[in-house]
Amino acid sequence: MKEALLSDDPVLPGEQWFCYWKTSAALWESRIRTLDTSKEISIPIYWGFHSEGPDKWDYGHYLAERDLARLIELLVQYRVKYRWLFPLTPCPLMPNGGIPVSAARTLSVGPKGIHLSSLNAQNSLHKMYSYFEPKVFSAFNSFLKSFKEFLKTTENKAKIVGQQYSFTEDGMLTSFLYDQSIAFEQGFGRYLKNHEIEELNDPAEELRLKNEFLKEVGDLFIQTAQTELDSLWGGEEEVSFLGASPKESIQRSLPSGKTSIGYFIDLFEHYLFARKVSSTLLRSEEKKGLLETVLNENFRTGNAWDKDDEWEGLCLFELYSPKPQDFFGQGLHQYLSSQFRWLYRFHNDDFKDTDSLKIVHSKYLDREHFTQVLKSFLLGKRVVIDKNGLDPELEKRLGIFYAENNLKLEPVRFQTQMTFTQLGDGKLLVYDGQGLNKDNYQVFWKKIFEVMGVTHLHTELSDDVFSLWKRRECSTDELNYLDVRRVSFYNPTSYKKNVKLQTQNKFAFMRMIDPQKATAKSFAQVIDVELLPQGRISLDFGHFEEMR
Amino acid sequence: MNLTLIYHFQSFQNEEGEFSPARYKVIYCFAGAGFLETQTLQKLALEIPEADPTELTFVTLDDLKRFALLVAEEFEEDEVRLISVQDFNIGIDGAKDISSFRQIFLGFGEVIRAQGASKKRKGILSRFFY
Repeated sequence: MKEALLSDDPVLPGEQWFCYWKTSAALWESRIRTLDTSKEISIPIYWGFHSEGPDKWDYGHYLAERDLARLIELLVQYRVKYRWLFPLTPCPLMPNGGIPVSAARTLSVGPKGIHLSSLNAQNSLHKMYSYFEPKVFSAFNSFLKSFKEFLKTTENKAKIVGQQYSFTEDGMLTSFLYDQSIAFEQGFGRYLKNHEIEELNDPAEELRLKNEFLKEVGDLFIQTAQTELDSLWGGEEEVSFLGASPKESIQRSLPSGKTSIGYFIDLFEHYLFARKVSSTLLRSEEKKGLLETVLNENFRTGNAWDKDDEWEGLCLFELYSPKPQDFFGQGLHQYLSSQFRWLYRFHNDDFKDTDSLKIVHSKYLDREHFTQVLKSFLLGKRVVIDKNGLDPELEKRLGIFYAENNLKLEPVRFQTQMTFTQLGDGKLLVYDGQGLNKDNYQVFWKKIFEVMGVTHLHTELSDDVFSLWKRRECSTDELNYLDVRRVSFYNPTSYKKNVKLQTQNKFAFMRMIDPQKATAKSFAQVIDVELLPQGRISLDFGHFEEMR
Repeated sequence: MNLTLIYHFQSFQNEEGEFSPARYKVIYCFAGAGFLETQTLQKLALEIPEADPTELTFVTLDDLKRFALLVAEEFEEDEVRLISVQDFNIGIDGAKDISSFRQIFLGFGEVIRAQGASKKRKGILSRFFY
């Protein structure tokens, strides 16, 4: 029997993480031979666990559970694909946040002044210790050198992915690196001294410098790991833990606990920001039911946008801005949330050259991103740019771009000033967000998306019903379609809920999959779905008209 | 579990980095049934002169206690436990699991008793918790 992905199992607590230190080394083999070899597992390195004293690291000589050579042998023997995860910040899954006892000097203090600590799935309280303590960096560096040398003696071929961990509280994302303890303040004092800043009287400047210091220290841990691990380095990624914030620790300790719907809201918020999540701290009774279903069906790797088998997350809109709030004043987020719920995602950094409609805020556009965005249009993609606040130099370059490519511009006056142009399949619309009528944004965005050729099934569902859309290429017996889209609905409430889908002459209902406490009835161009409490259902649609 | 209020005495910095003088800020307020809705707390804070209801900050500890008693009365609790962030942190320092973590809410801070509690009808309060 293959291992369940999520179970009341400290060794495999979720998202295919394998926590070797959570069981006896004698039981590793029996666990590994039951793993699904088609799926890659991730092995977090609990580096503090390998400490035998300052600069002394053990890989099985003193304790069998530290014998990573044996673990690698078993993984190779049973042909299990794996990768290592190495914490670049305190990790709430590990005691002391993962650092050795000898370096655990000062408890981290979070944004609200409270020590950062998280309850794990076995109800242990893991306290985070400050990464700003000089001993932590020294131990971190020492471990990396030792670990690299150790791996050379093994059959290991797997990469090591650095992970930065975070939590959300009241919608705010905070890194577990964050700290305002005495260790941070002392480090910040040294930072000021090194930068020859003697007096700091402006609170705004102090805040800016503290954020800069925090980022520099975070980057230092990344660069050190990258340099030390060299060819073994597999890049870095960010992971948000569910249930890990100080508020959630209190909530999870109360008799009422944190509700399933609360986790759904958090999970889907992370989804919108394309963040990787980890449910590994949650107890089985917290996960059981629909939350476990949605995690198993969509978040096997932690990120539901990732391609899993043939299906990948369906994203109709990519929103680029340093802060999502930049779009709030224009009603874009509100409009997408009501008309295209969970069919868009926010980006603040890397530009992704996907087929989705890209909506770009001027604050995102530095020279590099500006070039990427225009190149994307030239390659036949659809781009909408808010030019309000655009750097005058870039605005000038935009004019040159129009002229150089001999583009025919169509000025449009609809609520605000806009310019529309086309080149092959590419569509570029530049508007001035400042002139938007905030009371009538629905009409504006509806028109924009019509012009840009966005079509999708119209879905009516209440706020507390959650849905995830995926797409896949057609199989040989589905050649009439351009692609196949699957929507899964989840009702975590205790009430019956109804959903209505309109196919709008562009989609054909194909089948329903795995209804649990749910039914779907198909009428001409309309599908009615009824979801009982804790109900779920998936529906497949063939898409038979080009979107653009 | 009794009604519990965790507060922090500190100066605050807004998004522009401007500081305001130190005040008592409510960080968390909860009972066994869950966290109390912020909107309800903000409405109650309106009754305390000089309080900032949006930020849930109070000028004096006495004001904070008066607010805590209003909350206790509103939520039909006989008493409310006030825990400073410093005390809460000492509790976290000594806790190792959920059981010792829960003990913080039973042993730390100061308990104040509400006057005329239990006058209101019971059973209508679940909507105030989340």
